[in-house]
Amino acid sequence: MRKLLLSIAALTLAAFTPNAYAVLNIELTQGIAAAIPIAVVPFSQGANASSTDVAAVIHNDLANSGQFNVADNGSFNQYPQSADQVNTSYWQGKNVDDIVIGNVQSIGGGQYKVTFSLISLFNQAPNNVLLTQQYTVSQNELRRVGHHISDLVYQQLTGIPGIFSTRLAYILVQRNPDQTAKYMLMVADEDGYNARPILISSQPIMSPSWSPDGKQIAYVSFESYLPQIYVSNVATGQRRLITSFSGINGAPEWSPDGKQLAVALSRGSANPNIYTLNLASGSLQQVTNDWSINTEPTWSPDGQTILFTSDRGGSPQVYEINMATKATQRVTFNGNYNASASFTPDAQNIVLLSRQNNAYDIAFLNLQSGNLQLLTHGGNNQSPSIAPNGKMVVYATKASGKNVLAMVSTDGKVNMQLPDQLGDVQEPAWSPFIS
Amino acid sequence: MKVNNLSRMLAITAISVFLAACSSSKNQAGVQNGFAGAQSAGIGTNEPFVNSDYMAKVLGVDKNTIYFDFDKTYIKSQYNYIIQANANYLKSHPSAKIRLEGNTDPQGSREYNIGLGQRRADQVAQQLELQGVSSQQIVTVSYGQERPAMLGDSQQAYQSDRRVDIVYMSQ
Repeated sequence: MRKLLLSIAALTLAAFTPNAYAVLNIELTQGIAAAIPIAVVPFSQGANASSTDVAAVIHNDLANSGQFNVADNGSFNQYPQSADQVNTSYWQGKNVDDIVIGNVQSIGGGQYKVTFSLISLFNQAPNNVLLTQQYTVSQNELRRVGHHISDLVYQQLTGIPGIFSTRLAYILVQRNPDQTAKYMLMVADEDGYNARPILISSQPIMSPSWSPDGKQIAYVSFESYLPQIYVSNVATGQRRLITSFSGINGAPEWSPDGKQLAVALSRGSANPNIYTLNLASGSLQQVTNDWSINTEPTWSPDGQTILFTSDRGGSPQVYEINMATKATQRVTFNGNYNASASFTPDAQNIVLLSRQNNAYDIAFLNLQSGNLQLLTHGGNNQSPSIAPNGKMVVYATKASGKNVLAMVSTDGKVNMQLPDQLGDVQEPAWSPFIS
Repeated sequence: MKVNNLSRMLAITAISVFLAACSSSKNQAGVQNGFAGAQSAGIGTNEPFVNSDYMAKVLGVDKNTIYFDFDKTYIKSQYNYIIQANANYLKSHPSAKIRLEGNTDPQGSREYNIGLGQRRADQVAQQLELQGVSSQQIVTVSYGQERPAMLGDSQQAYQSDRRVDIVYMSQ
């Protein structure tokens, strides 16, 4: 009986996997030459093998980051499980700088012990083990452990925090032949797995924005046929209405301290202006005040300024306003359509949507030099959102007539498309680091 | 006793996992990883409104919709008769109420498109009010690019997306 129940559990868990999607169509345009060569040795899983292949999770994470050239598993035939089993000269012959080894042991009660080490093959130090860790987790935490190990390896070898434990929020739209549609606010792991809805509606949902602690998402819902701003708790789905003014209630964006939302409100006039809303007191402060479209506010990392899109000069351009002095300056000058801007975490650059030669491209603007680099090259791209380590941008694009998500590195060298889902995927929002 | 408890626990686990898997096949709502499941909004709460084809017939117009040029918000003169027909109807039916729904094509910034759609809806409202319609009879909303009239990326689809639909909430 026990055995039967266990196999039912295993079967139903396996039934989850088809819902998940993996990254595909990875096109590493220029990244591979500079990438760090590494091997991830398949982990021994023991007799009670789990359906989650932890080493494969790490392999995919590192490969998809574009920062690593991960050796094909078919290119080696030694499978060390601990540091003392590593034949250094064998691995040096495989042209890798480092290897990740480990194992997963079932210890009963649905628990697993995961051990891993990162070993340098060219380290002259007495101990070439750069990292070693052990975790005890349940079956459904194995993917998370894999992502955590990827974060540690990435940080150890690049000096930059990894984003493999972060999440993406996005809108999934399923359109029916009778013109009705189902709109879903989704949250998934950064690699697309564990996708599930936070909100399902028959009317549009827009502009998801993560709270800085990663626990809440603000968004626009048209469930009453008029736009309103809501905040949902990611874990519980519990939500509350934030604004319901006459006209536009749009573009919510959490302040870095988590205390305010910047929003776009038209309040019965023909054009939206930027406001800030104190979430505790509900008090509203007007930031811009004119008769143009002012929208898409995003905060500087220190919370001192706000970027926004305005057509006050005749076409949509990005402006920056100092919250204390209200001094405003135009930021973009290339072309006649620049929008959807946000700062990189170091505040030195902005990522934005820029129309060039009738195409809408994701672009990277260095604020000091004014140099604008296109990260995509033609098409109908939208809604860029930067990873919390500043290395990748997720955005919406079109593939075979469908809206899908894609990622590009902020140096433009790595570009990959995420597979389509049952519907149109739009407005991705990258979560902050989640502890 | 211990074994019994364990079997029961496993049975409960199996059932709950099974249920989660079932619901996941429908809407992907599950119980894993601390997500407690989705809330539903706006489903089955459709507001009553008057059939658009019927209203177009009553007003004597082909389609109660005004189309716009790319990135533009002015109303082309070919649509003046639609404004006139709606103005006449609304003035003679003071209890009638309309919702002007502004829309854009699916290019560019979604939030900027919300602004653009609002301008288009407000432009139509202004024209109706100039014809003597009470502002009390009009509500405007912008759906930006969120509700395309025609799917696809042809210029024809884009043209039919850039529009204000005049929806009668009551006659």
